[in-house]
Amino acid sequence: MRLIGFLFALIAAMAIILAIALGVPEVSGGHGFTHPLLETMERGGAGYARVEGVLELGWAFGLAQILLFVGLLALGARTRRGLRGLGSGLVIGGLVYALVWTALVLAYRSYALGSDPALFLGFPVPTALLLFGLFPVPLIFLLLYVVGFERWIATPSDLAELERRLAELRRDS
Amino acid sequence: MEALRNPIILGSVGIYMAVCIGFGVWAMSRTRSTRDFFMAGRDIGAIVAGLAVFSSTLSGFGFVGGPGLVYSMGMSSMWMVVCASIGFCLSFFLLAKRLRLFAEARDTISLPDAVGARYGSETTRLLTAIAILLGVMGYLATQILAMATVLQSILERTELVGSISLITCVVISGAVLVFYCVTGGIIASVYTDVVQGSVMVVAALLVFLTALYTVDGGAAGAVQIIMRDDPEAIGPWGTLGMLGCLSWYFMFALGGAGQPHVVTKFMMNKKVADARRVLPVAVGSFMLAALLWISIGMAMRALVLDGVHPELSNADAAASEFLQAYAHPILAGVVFAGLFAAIMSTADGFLNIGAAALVHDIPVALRGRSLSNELRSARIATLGIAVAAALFALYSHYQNERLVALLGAFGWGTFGAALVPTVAIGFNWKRATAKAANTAIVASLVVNFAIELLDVDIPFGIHGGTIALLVSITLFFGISLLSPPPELAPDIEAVMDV
Repeated sequence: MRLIGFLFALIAAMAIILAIALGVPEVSGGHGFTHPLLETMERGGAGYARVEGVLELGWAFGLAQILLFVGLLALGARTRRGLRGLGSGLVIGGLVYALVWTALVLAYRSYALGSDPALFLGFPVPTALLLFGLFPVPLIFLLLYVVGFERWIATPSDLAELERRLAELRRDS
Repeated sequence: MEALRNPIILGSVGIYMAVCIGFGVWAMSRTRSTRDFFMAGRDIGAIVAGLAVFSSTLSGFGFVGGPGLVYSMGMSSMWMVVCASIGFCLSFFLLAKRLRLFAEARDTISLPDAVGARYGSETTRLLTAIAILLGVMGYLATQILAMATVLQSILERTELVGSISLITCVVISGAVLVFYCVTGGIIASVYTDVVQGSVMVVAALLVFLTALYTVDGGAAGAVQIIMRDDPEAIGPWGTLGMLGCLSWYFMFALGGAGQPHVVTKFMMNKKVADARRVLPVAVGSFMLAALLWISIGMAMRALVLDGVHPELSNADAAASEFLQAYAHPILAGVVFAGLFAAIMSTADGFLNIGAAALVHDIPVALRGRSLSNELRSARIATLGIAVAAALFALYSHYQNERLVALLGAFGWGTFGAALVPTVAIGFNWKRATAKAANTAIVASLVVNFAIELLDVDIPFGIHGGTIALLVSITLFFGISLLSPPPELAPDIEAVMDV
């Protein structure tokens, strides 16, 4: 029940953050405008001015998403006996995920202000953090799933017990 | 070799289609019951299931719309790609074990079947089936349109054919799809998915390497050209902006657990424990195939900005123009086959779940039993849905011209908002009630359709599907917590304890 309360609170927080963001005035062409020379392309334009007033809200919205995702992973993995050994792995994975996300937002701030035009692995730093950080980080959870499935998520004894129970119920009915 | 480019491309696509037809014929002899037609006899191995899950997820949207979005909007659409790693994890953690166990306990043959069993409610089963049918029509129409558009561009470049109408192309490509889906059901679908998934991965890797060598300076050169024109386009949010991208991330990551054509495959594994092998195959394949999405889009944007390539007629032409202009003819042939594979592997899944909704779920919900001679009815329904979706696709194309990609996003949002609370959360939370599930499904459809039909422009480019998903989950939690706890059937309770 505590987990459900946590998830519900996160969903509510996300809705509230979006509602606040919708009240912030958006700069003209803030979510793209047609390229002046090439009509099949768009430009983003205004740099930091596009996110002024919503950068922190966006960070919070992203963080709430990450916490929600990790919470939902826990919801799916838990059994009648709880999360068993999986809990600490999910917490560590969630922390790394949140840190990479925060680093991406901070790097973008510098990039948009024009103070950090450096490239990393061929891309601007915040874009590199997106492609080579935020993209692969959830593989931590994949690893937990692969390694922990038969240990914590659906152990052979859990499945055998279920099979016995289902057989009993079928007999009784 | 260059003179043979178009015949090679046409030949590759022809061979690919012949293979699909071959699978249809082979699978027909293995399809003896509706359990075979809809569930592949629950006998799918881990590698096959992994490739089927991946190829059902990455549709024509990824091969046509995706590069087009990178071309037109820069890095924005990368959020639809990078969400895949967490998205697949969410789907597997929440549903792979649970759906497979439901299938074992109640011998379910479709997602609404499992929903009906979980909530003990025929209304919830009916609403789920209706949501699936509506989503299938929107999404399948997108796939059929994409398939016909690509075929038209190939045929029109060959001297033998010259000009050909879009309607004719819809008929040709639709006929191949319908043939193997009608004859072989999900068995043909799943095994063609293996071929399709493999072709897609190989094609993506080869295209990625080609794209690196097409732009002066490789990927870094393309980045520099794009950055000189507009630094925001190559920044993490592209031209769409931060909140718009985050709304895509949320909808595509979590929405994945509500895609019925994908999660239905979780019920087909041989063993519950296979799920842990299926997940890495699906994620790994997707990550490799996504290279095509980003590499073509970035290369074409850079080439056009640099004046090397003329401006495209529309953004969705990015992939086909790149292949025609810069790829070796044999590679172009492989990739065009891969493109058809991407489209068909998703479309066949839709046809299958749509047919299940029509001949099994809706009749069971309304009159307590499915149609008589269910297998034959399923084949007829598959054909009927394909024809209806093709007509819908043509109507949309001629009446309302929009990017294929955005139509695809609407379909994804409809499924996500309607089914994530009901299925992904409700199958893991005993306290969830049928009333909450019904309300969430109806609310999600109303919000999604209202935003789309009224053409609401939400500030910051926030996607309507995200709003619909937030509304449906909030209602689902709220109503469940305010209602008395439901009484679960003992077998369902036992499954939910694991």
